[in-house]
Amino acid sequence: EETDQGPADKMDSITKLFGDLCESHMVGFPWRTALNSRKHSKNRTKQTLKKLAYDTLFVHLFQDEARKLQPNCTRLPVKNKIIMLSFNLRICGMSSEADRLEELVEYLEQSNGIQISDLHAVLELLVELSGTGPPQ
Amino acid sequence: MANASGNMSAVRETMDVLLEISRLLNTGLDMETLSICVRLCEQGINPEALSSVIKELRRASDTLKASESTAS
Repeated sequence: EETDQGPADKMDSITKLFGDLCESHMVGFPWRTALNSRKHSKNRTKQTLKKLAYDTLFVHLFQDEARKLQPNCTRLPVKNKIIMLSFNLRICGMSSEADRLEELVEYLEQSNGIQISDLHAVLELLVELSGTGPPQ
Repeated sequence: MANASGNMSAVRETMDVLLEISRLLNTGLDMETLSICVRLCEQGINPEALSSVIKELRRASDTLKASESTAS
């Protein structure tokens, strides 16, 4: 696996990406206008969300360190977790969705020219967020 | 640089597959947020930490939206 990143991949700094992430969570806010000073300003909200994002990240960074000190804790490979989620879909009568999910994960694993350096991390994120969307 | 456009379409295809997986799992991520997350993962951000960040941002933005509607 290619882990080295070229300069082009470094263009997005983590701070910039965290800023973008906060903005993507600020869509549809009724922003303060000159006449309505009770509403939040966009900059202030972004600052609040950024502080929250970094605070949350740092809490996890310390947990990562603690986890390294306990190497015997077992961690399920991400594919197992996805298979378990697809099993849940089958139980809920969503077999075609489960088939499609397994097919897509298989496809990602087998396509060689994959352009994403850490696919497993992305899948892990999707697993972590599974079921957190609006009710379907 | 000759295959740069080939790479771009491969990236787009991978992103489309990831977005479909994301929808099947009901993660609540839209394409824009997903692509920011992919780039953060590529920069080495831990996915569990990132999922917590997103959950906290959602909670905070819901709270802020709720306070906006009661304030107006």
